[in-house]
Amino acid sequence: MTLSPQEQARLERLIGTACRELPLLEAPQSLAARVTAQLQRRAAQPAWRAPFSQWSKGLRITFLPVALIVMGVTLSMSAGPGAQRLTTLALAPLSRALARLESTGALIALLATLCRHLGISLLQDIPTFWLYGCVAGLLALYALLAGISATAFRTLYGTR
Amino acid sequence: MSAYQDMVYSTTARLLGDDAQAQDIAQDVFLKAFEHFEQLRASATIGGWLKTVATNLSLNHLTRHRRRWRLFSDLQRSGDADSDDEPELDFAVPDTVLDGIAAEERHRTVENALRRLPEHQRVPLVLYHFEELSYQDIAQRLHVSLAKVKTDILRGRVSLARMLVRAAPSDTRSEAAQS
Repeated sequence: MTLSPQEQARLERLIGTACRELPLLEAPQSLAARVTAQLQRRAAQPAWRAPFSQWSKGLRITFLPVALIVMGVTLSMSAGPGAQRLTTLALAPLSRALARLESTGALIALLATLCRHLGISLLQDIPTFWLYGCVAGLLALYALLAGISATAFRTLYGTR
Repeated sequence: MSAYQDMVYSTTARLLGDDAQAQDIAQDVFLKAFEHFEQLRASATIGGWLKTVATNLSLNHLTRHRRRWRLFSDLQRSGDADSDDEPELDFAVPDTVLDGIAAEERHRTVENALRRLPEHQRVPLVLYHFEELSYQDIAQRLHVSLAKVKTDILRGRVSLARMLVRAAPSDTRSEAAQS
């Protein structure tokens, strides 16, 4: 039976009445304790870890000019006579790291060559049918994973 | 906080249909309230503010959850027989169905029935009947069409009515079956 507009209006009134007369649900007693604990945890954190909007007004007002001064000083130092010395000082650890990376890179290149040769010889030895079979198997496993995940979702969250 | 915790918790629990999630969101609501403590302390509309924030945070939570599970939700939806056709009521609901059930039992039945509704029916139904939003506002808030909101709410009402009739005493049920 499809609902006529009158039936729909009657149903709306009925459900509206049922919903309106519902009392408030009682909040679990743990709620207040959880909120208090979370507030205490926040209060124990250093002020700078709080979002900027929650910093005290004085701190917020002070922060902006201080940040601008620091930026200005940094920029002037990087453009002035001390800049070259600063650059050398700053780049020294970087050049050491690069040298280390070069030696690591050579080792990685050697390993890659070994793997490539090993891979080519393996590919030549393994029959093509097996390779296609492996690819098909991987695709089937992927589809199975998607199927299991969908079933899990429908079971766990389906009614929500 | 104690004056408003039941109201906030009721809002989140009815929208989310899950106690644990409702507690998490209610906690976030009160943390937000403490962040705006200075503004709210003098405000006469703190109850309305808390209710609005509770509704918004619950809807945001549901949207995030829906996005995370979109692929599987789509798989499920395609499996459902959930067309946009108008729902059918295969029984008549007598006007006296609510009178036939004791108040406490009736409240429990409606709360349980709300929780058992699928999310796409429960959320617009709660927004309409508890938060008193219009169909148009609900459609805008949920980013769905007006027609879908109306159909989902109607389906939700039909499901609730069915559960109320089931919970009613046998004489009311037979009245429903005859008419």
